[in-house]
Parts: sequence; structure tokens; C-alpha cells
Amino acid sequence: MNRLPAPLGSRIDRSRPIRFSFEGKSFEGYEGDSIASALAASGQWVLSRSFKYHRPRGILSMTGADANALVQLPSEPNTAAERTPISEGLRVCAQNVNGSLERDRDAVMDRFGRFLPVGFYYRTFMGPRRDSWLKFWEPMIRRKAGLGVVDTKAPHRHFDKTNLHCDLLVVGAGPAGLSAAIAAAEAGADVILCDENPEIGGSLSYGRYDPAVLFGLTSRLEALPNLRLLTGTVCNGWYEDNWLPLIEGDRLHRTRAREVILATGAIEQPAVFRNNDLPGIMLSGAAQRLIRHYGVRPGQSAVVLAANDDGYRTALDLLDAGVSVVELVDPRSAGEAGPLEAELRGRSVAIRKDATIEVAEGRAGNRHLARVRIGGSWIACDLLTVSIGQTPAWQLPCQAGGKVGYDAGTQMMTITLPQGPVHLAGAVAGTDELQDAIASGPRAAATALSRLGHAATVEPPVTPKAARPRYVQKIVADPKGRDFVDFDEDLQVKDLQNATKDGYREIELVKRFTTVGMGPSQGRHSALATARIVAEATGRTVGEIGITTARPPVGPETLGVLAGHQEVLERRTALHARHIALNAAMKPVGAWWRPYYYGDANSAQEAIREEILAVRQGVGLLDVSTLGKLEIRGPDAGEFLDRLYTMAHANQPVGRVRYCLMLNEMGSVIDDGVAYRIAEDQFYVTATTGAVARVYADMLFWNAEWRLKVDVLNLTGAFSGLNVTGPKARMVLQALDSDIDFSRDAFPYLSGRDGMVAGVPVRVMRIGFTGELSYELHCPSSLAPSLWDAVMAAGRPHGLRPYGLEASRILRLEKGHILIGQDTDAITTPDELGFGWAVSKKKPFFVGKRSIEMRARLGQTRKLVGLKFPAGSRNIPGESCLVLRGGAPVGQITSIGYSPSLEAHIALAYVHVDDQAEGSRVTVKCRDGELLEAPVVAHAFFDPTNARQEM
Amino acid sequence: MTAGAATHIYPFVPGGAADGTKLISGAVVLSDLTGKPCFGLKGGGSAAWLAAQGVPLPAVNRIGDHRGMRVLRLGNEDILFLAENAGETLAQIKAAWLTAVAPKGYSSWREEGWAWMRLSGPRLVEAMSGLCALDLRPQKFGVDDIAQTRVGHIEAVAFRSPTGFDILFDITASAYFARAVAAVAGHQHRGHP
Amino acid sequence: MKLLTCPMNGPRNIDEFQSFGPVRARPDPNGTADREWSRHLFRAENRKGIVVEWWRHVPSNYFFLAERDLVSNEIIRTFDASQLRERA
Repeated sequence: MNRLPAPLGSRIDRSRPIRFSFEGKSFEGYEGDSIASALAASGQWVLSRSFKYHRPRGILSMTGADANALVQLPSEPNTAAERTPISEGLRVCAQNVNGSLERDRDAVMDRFGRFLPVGFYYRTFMGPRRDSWLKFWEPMIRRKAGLGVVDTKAPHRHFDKTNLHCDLLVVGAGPAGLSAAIAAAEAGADVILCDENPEIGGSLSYGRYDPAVLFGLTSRLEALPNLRLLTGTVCNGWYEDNWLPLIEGDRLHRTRAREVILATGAIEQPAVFRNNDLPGIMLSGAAQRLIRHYGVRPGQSAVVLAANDDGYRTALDLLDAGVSVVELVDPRSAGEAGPLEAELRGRSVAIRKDATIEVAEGRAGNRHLARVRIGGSWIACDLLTVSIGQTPAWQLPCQAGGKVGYDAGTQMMTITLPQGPVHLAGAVAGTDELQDAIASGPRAAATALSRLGHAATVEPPVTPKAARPRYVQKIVADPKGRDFVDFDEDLQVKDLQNATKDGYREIELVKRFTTVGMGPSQGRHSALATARIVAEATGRTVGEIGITTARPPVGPETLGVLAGHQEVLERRTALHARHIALNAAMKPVGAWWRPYYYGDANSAQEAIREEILAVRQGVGLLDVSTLGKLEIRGPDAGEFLDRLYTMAHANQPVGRVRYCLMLNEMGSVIDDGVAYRIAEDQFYVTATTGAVARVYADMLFWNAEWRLKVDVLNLTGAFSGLNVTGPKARMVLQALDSDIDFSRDAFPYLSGRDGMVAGVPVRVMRIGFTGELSYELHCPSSLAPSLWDAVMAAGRPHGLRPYGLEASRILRLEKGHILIGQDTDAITTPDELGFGWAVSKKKPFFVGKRSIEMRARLGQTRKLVGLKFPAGSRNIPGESCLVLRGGAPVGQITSIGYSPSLEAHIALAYVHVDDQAEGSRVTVKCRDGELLEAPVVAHAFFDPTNARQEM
Repeated sequence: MTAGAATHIYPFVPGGAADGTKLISGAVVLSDLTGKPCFGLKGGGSAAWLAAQGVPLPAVNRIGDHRGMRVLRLGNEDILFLAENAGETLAQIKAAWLTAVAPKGYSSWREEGWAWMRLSGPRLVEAMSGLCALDLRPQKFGVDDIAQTRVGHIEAVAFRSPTGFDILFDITASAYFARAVAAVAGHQHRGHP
Repeated sequence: MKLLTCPMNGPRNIDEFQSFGPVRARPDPNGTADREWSRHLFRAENRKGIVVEWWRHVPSNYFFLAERDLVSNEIIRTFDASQLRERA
């Protein structure tokens, strides 16, 4: 075991051991361990195989950002082993291995590397056939390509979303972020502070700093009720107007902040040399995290590569952890020795200046670091910590509009944000020393506070101390390669150099050609080196090359987090419970639930047939509450409808009902319904169930332009509708207690009446609908169940039957009544439907008028007609089956069904305009390809003279 | 149109459309006020007629008070009375309106079109932050403010009540809404044991 | 998510709104040739610059106008439709 004694190991609880497995082998760790730390504690350093060459890879950063440490969990692929805690019995596997992690058959790829040049895919997989990529190469490469396996049977997880609002969001709870959040909260602002780590402190939690600093900040933070701390929470993007998704486990906090301070820190950069990817070579921050967070000794015998103070501190940490530090190599030229150097020398560590790691070598199969070469001589070691420089964590700042630059003086990447509600603090803003970082927090907070209207003194930016230029590694391609720039994508120095030789000189092109920066780490460890290589190869400066565009998300996110939890929207009519009580088969129609038929599933066809015949021979009752219902009120109501619909409504008498047909500006039919004039200034208008939301919005839109004196009210939910239809409908209504005279003369076809039925206030309309005598009773929804009960009771002696959606569809089809959206499409004109009668020739204007006139001049090509298929036809086409003419498609079937009244299958179909005459024979292609001839019949298959509905 | 002897049946009463759907209680409480006295006017003439009756009208998206009723101004010509404890006052206004001559605005039928539900309980704030994207912090959203927004993914009108938030929404979505609130409350519970 | 400030309801997430497109001159249907009418129907201007667009706040069904910079996507101001008439 590589465990170190407490207090090292701040995240683990040694009293709670946890057993888990990796690659089928059993391991033990402690509560709080990550998969990677628990494995490291047991000496398991190889975590994965690399993408292209299948080289063993292990811990690089301990931040979870790179592909090196992605593992497969039973129901989750691509899990970051460095961040994911272990749990009892967790089964962890390696990804991207052919066989096992230990014996990967594809490891041979490492020797064939020269056959996988940069741009390999683009060069190689062009042929032999046009679809070779999709059909052959891509599936094969996908199997080889290092992605985990999705478990389609994964157990359901609960994701949810919340909305947060704050004055100030601080991202990153390191020294700068903590100080910024505390300063703003102490000034009274409502602050949220988030950090992806389970604890606050950032580098203070794992670096070699005085614990009193973090302790002091923590106690100030805990005293602030207006500071909400979200640890274990990733800020995964910046979107317009300071909208930031904070992901806390399976919960997404959609956060709107008035001001944002990004204290996202810096990213340590690897050094580039041959075999720089061996397990055992890690960034110094990784070694420090292993020691302080997990109490894991990162090696036995270490070489430290240090081009800055952090590297020296790491060497001291290693010594304290009982690691033997063989040598510290500092590539900078010898200068004045600082206190850290003196301390190290005092502890007998050999320090070599002006030298660097030239090459590393691994044990058999490259499973772990064995030795490094410095100045031509080999030094045996099992750990190399690398501390040669860093880049600001640019992802969030760049998404927020920041521009990346390069300061040639300090040799640092810089970020500049435009003046606005986003501010930087700490290492991301270029601070180097802890004290500078801590000071930068309150400074950023003061700027944010003053923008929030707090009386805050905005301190002028401190003139930086004469910044020392940073060390810059000279990147030279190793003649034998394997000097990795991008670990995720297995890209070496020469790959990038070759890309520039191929003419890809711009960074965005280099990225797309080589795939550099496209892996899970998104360039965190490769962007700076890439920029330097491309700059060098093209004779430009790093600033001129820049980095590729940073887009959200910052890191990978689970689709479940984005989806959240969503109940399925469901709308129920006021009669829902009545239908259920009558054993209705309920079916969703959009969000609505409607009775499809009444009865058991095993007798569905029989039930539908009986419902249809009940309406044709007796009387039926249909819940039409899902119909759109609009009330148009005001002095200009008639004029308003005149402009919106094709028929005349301004002259429509009170008490009359008119069909109404709505076109869009292009002259296509978009809705129909009826309009009942209740009063001079009041119309009750129906719209189709699916279209009412749009019709209502369109009405409001048109009137925003027209400014007529009307009010439009959507009564779809407020009112319910009951359709009482059939030859005996009048008898049923006359049996009810009512002040309305339902007699034929007093209440003719296409008229409407207000009154009381069975104690319920109603609006009654006589309309066509099923083609039988039909009364549609509309009433306030809370009274609909009472009205339903009364109608059912009154209808019982007459054999009244409630009928469902399918019977209604067939009844309407028998009459040739169209369904908008089913029998019409985006270009259907009234003429194509034979609805010339519904279009006023007198009105000077209505929406779509100009266009249908123009389209009429272009000539009509198709017509919706009825088709009747001979009884006993063996093959019946389905909806959308093509209508052919001379072998070419000219139209299609739009509705089809079996009519028990006519004992034949009937359909509505678009046919060629020359075939519209009754008796023409058209050819229909069935689903199985059979061609069928059918005669064109009149739209109204049943009762073509409409005598029944007007009785 | 005035109702006769017939019984009003609202979604959560026996025989109602949402009958059988549980209203959550505990850390988050959802209660149903649909059917409590409620009356609204909308369209040209509404505001003038009410003003002439001596009803003080608040600004748009604000709540006023008139003889124990809450007066919600949802638009220039869209005013809603909620009279949880002032049914008689409301009945008087309604009766006066029915017999008055035009112009007097038009009924908005909210008592039929909208469910009226109340969200309360110790985890109210968390539940609302799961249901509604709006900034409802007390300093941003006061006792007489109205939010016409989305709650639980559907269009709704939300405002404070003494014990929590009152929410008005499409009555046909009542069962859905109760489920959506229960789901959010369940998630909150899972997240904060 | 972008914010849009509704003149009646204040700043809201833009997913509470529905866009109804730029304010366009409506040619006289009876005095326009087919060619121009087709152009009016099917050709949308998409020039760089500032457009005035119709928006609907869906929960309140309030229609208003917004001035937006097509290059920066900045919403410069929003106002009630009555102000459009006053300017015209």
C-alpha cells in the first residue's frame, strides 16, 4: 500500500474501507477515494490504453480532464476515474482495449505508428466505394476508437433542474474566488460560489501553503448567510446575458447572475519529450493532490522537473511523503538561489540547473516509468513530476467574450475580457503568487459591486511586479517520436509539424486536420504547445497563432442532465372521469386524452361499428371539448373575422352559424371551424384541436397590426362541447328541461341559440359534423359533467350511445368532411378542396385572398376527391399511398376507412385535376406495390344531398 | 348565462377530470382552490366600467385590494377578482355587471378556464425554483407583484399568497400540474435528505 | 439563455417568447403585380444592421416590438406597438 498517514488524505475516511473491482480484480480503498486514487494506493497505475497506439496510460493531472483516466462503469462510459468516487461493489473496467488492459492485442499498433500518419483518416478511407466510409471503415474504427460502451439497459436515474438567481456568481473556490465571494457577500450582495471539487480552497487544499490561510477564509465564509456555496458543482458554460449551467451531480442549476467573477485558475502544462506519456510521469499538481487529498504516495523514487516555485514545493512535499527525490532538474539557467532551493539543498536533494529531461524509458511494455535521461546520463526513477508552466483556464472566459493573447515579455498566455458583467480573478487573470491571487479577488468583487450599485471603492489594478519571463520549453521533434503533444489523440510533435508542411497553417485548420484538441481534454494540455509548434513552423508568433474557439460545454455532460425530468404534458376534458366510467379506450391526441371508442379492446372493431350505426340510425353523443373555442368581442368583431376568414361575417345575422375557413398569406388552408354570432359585437368561433393555439396567436398578431377594436379570448379549456347527433337528436334535446325551442322551424340548420338546458347555461349550434341532424352544446366546463349526465339520461329511451374518435372520423369521412392537416398540406388551396363556395368573391380583403387569385392564374394541378374501393377488394391502400397517372405520382390518399353504412372502403385523395370528374378511374399504388384502380366519387359518399343533416 | 340547479364539478372533486390524482403534501404542499369565488373582465370597456363602480385598479401586473378581494390586473383591459374570503362582495360586482348596459367589457371566464392552486410548505422556495425560471427572491418579487410566466413548463400566472404562491393555469392541465409539482418535490427531497 | 425585456412583463428568458418576424411594409394586395407579391411572400430581407421585430410574450399574449442588431444579436430596445404608429 502506498498510503501515507493522516493528516494527509483530507478527502478519505480511513474508518470506512470500500471494496470495488477494476478489470475484474478486487481492490480496496476508502470512502472519499476516487477510482484513480484508490487504484494508485494499491500500486495500479495503468488506467487506460491510448487512443491510437494503445500505449498504457495513467494519472496525468488528477483533475479528470484528460482521456488518460477515462474508465467504463457498468452503466456509464467515459467516466473520469480521477474524479469519480468509489462505492461498494463498483465494477470498473478499462476502455479502448482489445482483450484486457494488461494484455491489449492492439498494443502492436504502437509499432505500426508510421502507418498511421497525421490525417490518416482523410487520406485512407476515401474508397474503394463511395459508401465505404459509412459501411465499412467507420464501424471498424469505432470499435477501435477508445470510446466506452453505452448501456442501453442502464437503470433509470433521476435528473432534475432548478433555477438560481444571484447578484454575483463566483466560479472557482480557490484563493482568488474565495476572497472575491467573501468580499462581495460581506458588502451585502447575494453571492453564489461554485467549485467542481468536493472542498473549497483550490490549490490551498493540496498545495504547500500555510493551512492558516484556508482556515481564515473558511471561517469568514461560514459567517455569511448570503453566500451560497456549491461544491462538487461544475460551471459548464457561459451563455448570453450571464446564464450559466451549474451541474451538481444529477442536478442542473440554471443560473442567472447579474455579475460573474471567473476564478477558474490555471492549467499545468506537460513537458514534451520522448515517452512523456508513461505512467509515473505526472504533473506536479497531480502528485500533490495524491498526497494531500488522498494520502497516496505517488512513487518511491522521484525525479522532479521544475521550472518554477511550484516544482520546488512539490519536491519538498515528496520528501515529506517519504519519497526519495533523486534529483531536481531545473531547465532555467542558474541564478540566485531562493529559499525553496536552499531548503531542498539543506535536505540533500541534488539540483541540476540548465538541464532538462531528454527522454524517458519505461519498463516492459511501457507499463511504468523506469528511467529518464538528463544531460546524456540515465537516472532510474518510478516518478517524474513535471512543473514547467501553465496556461490560464481560458474556456469560460473565452465563451464570455474573452480574447486570448500572448505576452511576449512574460511568455504567458493572457486573457482580455471586454468591459462588462464578467470579471477575472486569480491565476486565470495571470496572478502568479498566492498573495496576488488573494488580493485580486476583492478587487474583482469591487468592480462587480459597483456595477451592482453598491458603494464600493474600485481599486486601480495593481501594477504588476516586474514579472519574470516564464520558462518556455523549446519543442524539438524527437527523431524516434512518441513525444506526445496531445495525449487524448496520440499526436506527436512531428504530426503537427507535418500538418503545417501539408499547408494547414491556421490553428483551426491544424485542429481539424490533426484532431489536436478534439479529445476529452479539449486542448487543456495541448493548446499552448500546439500554438508554439505551429508558430515555430510557420515563422510567426504564438500570439498570431492563438488558440481555437472555445465553445460550451466546458467539459463532458450527461444527456440526462440536459434533459432533466419532464412529466408528459397531458390535458383532460371536464368529462374525463365520465369516459373512464363508461370504459372508454382513451388515446392521446397531442396533449389531449380522448375516448377512441367505448368498450373492451377485444371488441374494438365491433364497438366502433355499433357507434357509427347508432349515429346513423339513432343518436350518439361525442365529447368535442378539445375543439378550439375562441370568443371574438368588440365593435369590430365582424370586420375582424371578415379579414381573417374567407367567408363574409360582418353581415352574418345574430343567431346564425357560418362555416369559416382560414388561409395563410400564401393562400394555403390552415384552419376551419364555425362562427356563431351571439351578439352584434360577439362571435363564438371554433378552431381545430391541433391548430387553436396557433390560430389564437395569429389572431392576436394580426390585430397587433390592425388595431381593430376587438378582444380575442381563448375559451378552449373554459368551455366544453357535447355533440348530440343522429336522426333522434332532436327528440333527446326536446326531452330535456330547456328554454330553447329545438323544433325544426324555430332552430334551423346553421343557426345558434343561447339558453338553459337541464339547468346548465349553453350555447347550442346546429351544424353538419356527422352529416346527421347535429346539435353541438357548449357550456362552462365545470357544468359539463352535469350536462353530460342529463343528455345521457334523456337519451337512454332513444338508445343514445356515446361514441369515440374513430367513429367520429369515419362518420365525417363518409360525408367527405376534411380534416385540416390530415387532408390538407402546406400548399392546399380552397380550390383544390372544392371549397370555392366558402370563399367570398365580394370582400375586398382577407388574408390569403391575393395569393389564391394569383395561384388560380398559375393553374390548378390537383383536386381532393372521394375514392370508393369495391367491396371485397383484396388489397386496400393506406394513408399516404400514391395516386399515379401515367406511372408518375400526382397525389396521395389522405384519409381512408371502412364505412359500415356503405359497406366499402372509402378514401379522400388528391388526384390529377383532369381526373376530378365523378366516374374517372385513377390508379393507386398500395403499400405492397400493387396497383389498384378506383373510381372517383363525390366528396359526400353518404347522403350527397345533405338531406339528413338539414332535417 | 347563469347556472341553474346543476352542480359544478372541478378537476379534483369526485367525478372531476383529475379525480384520483394525488395532491402532494408534506415538505411541499399543493392545495386546490379552483371553484373558489373568482370573476374576471376582459376586453374594451372593462377597466372603465370597474373604475366607475369604484373599484381601484392597480397597475398592470400588480395586485390591488377591494373590499377583501384581491384585484389582479393582468393587462390594461384584463382584470381578475379572487375572492377566497369575500364571496358576497364578488357576487355583488358580478350581479351588477350582468345587469349593466354595455360598454362594460366581457367576461374572461377565468373561473372556468383556469385552475387556481396554492403551493406552500417548508420546501416552497426550492420547489418554486424547480418549477419556475423567474427570479422570485423576496427583494425581486413582492407581495403585490404578478408574474405571467411558465410554471411546471406550462403558461401560468403566479403571485404570492400569505402562505406561499398562488398559481393560475389552464384547467385542463390540472392532473399534469399536480404530477409535475409532485415530481419536483420528490427530486428536491432526494437531493436534500 | 438570452434575456428579452418585455415592455409589460420585464426581463424574461427568451424561451417565454415567440418571434413573429421583422416588421414589414404590407404592399397593397390589389395594386401589386404577381412578381412583387411573390417577392413579398417568399423573400426575406436579411441585411446586416438593425431590424424591428414583432415578439409575443406567450404567457401573457402580449405583442410588442424589439429593435435588434443582426450582427451582434444585441437587443437595443423593446417597446409597445403604439409607439411604432407614433413614429410612422
